Amino acid sequence: MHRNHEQITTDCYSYLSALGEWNTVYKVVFSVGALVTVIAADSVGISAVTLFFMMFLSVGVGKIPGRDYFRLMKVPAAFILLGGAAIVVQFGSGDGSLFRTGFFWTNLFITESSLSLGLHVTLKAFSAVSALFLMTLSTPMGEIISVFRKIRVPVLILELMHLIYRYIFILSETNQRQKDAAGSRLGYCDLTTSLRTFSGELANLLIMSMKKAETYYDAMEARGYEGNALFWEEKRPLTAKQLLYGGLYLAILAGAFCLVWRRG
Amino acid sequence: MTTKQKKLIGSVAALSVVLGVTPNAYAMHIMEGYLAPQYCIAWGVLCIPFLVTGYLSINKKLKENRKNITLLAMAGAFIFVISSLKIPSVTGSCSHMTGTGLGAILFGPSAVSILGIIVLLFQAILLAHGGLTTLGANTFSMAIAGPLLSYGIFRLCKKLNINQYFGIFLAAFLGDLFTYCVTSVQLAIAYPSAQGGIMASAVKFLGVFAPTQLPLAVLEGILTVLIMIALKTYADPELKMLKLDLGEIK
Repeated sequence: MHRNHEQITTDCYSYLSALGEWNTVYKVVFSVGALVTVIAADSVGISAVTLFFMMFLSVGVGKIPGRDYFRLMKVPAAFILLGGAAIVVQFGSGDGSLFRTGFFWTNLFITESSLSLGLHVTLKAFSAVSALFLMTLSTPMGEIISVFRKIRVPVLILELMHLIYRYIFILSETNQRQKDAAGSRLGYCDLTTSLRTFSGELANLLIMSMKKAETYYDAMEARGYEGNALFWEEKRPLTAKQLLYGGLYLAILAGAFCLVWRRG
Repeated sequence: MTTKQKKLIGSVAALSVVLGVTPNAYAMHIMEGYLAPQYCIAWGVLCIPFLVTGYLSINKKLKENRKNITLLAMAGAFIFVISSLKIPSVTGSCSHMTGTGLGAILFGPSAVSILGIIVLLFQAILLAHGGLTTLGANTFSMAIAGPLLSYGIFRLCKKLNINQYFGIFLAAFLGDLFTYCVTSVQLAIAYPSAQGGIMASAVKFLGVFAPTQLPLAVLEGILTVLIMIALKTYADPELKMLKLDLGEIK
């Protein structure tokens, strides 16, 4: 989408999502609430229900393109797969295992309980990520910071967050230009040159950022900054429709809890 | 096919899967949903004293000179950006620096703890790396333990008059390794093995992530040294602004 900062894609979606109109505090409470439920309940049923409901909200209601949603889901996949492998595969004597193979001086083996734990944790992680995505793919950073203000995070931290958020885009755009300039001069022709170019770019980026910091402070001061930056916040009303989705989720959760409880 | 051959094919396949699924090797952020509530809270609480120290030191810096606010914010953005850039590599896999060593050497460990938690929060929100519930655990390993060790080694090498560039390499390299070990232990405590408990589990997590994290630590060390050389050559005044005197570096 944005060539300049292709890394920072969730940010673009947060401005495009149809859920952007939702009340910010409600959205954050909904998302974090679902997240905590998934982790605290620690049950396959709840994880699966939450995963599908959150996907429905982000893709179905929020209109995030499905392909992009799954591409974003793949980001944490490397960690989840490796972490899952470490949980599934055990080593030791390996009595009563499903699968066992010799490995140097010990055995690698998989037991039924380790396999189910691994699959369970993987599902739980994807479910938790989908709950997090409900918030991140629909709420611009400025609004998330406004929620932090409401829970009384120190002003200094909030100000730092606002400024860091803005500077991230400035620096990554600057770096993209450096990269293009270096690339067009064969700065990335082989590994040694690449490493030298890369580190040169970063050193230069630091110098430029320190110089820009001073300019930006002067610019802020010229606009009346006196040690307290104020940011405008849009008011987003909480509507019955938004509450309906929350209610629907709670109803489904209650159903799932009942099923889990009955099964024992 | 003999059993031996089958086993060989099996292990080669496993190895290729492990190497194949690491096209995007970030530093080890523990993913959302991976830790049970009690561990999320425990690691978060463990971070508080360090964060308070960091907050007070930043507050003091700002009382001295209000202009430091943009400087600190730039430092935070810089740490975020270097951790989101792909390191050039021959294999086409794409790995990223952690920036913990460089950050600690440039900005000091107390400032890095606060900047680090903000950067980790932004990574969770903007890049889907790490998470909100695992923020405490990730902050402890990446914004507190790693930077503290890096900074300690950097100062120690300076005191012992060891070649400064070697000191910087060691600081960044060991800081990175330490972060990776702490994360493995955090995961092991949350998921102990049935046989052997936490120790065995830690060995498993260390082993599984070693193929990505060990080369990354070496690369991080080399890159940090190259960056410091470039900074020393072109930006002595700016380094002084950061209260970092590299005058002794030849």
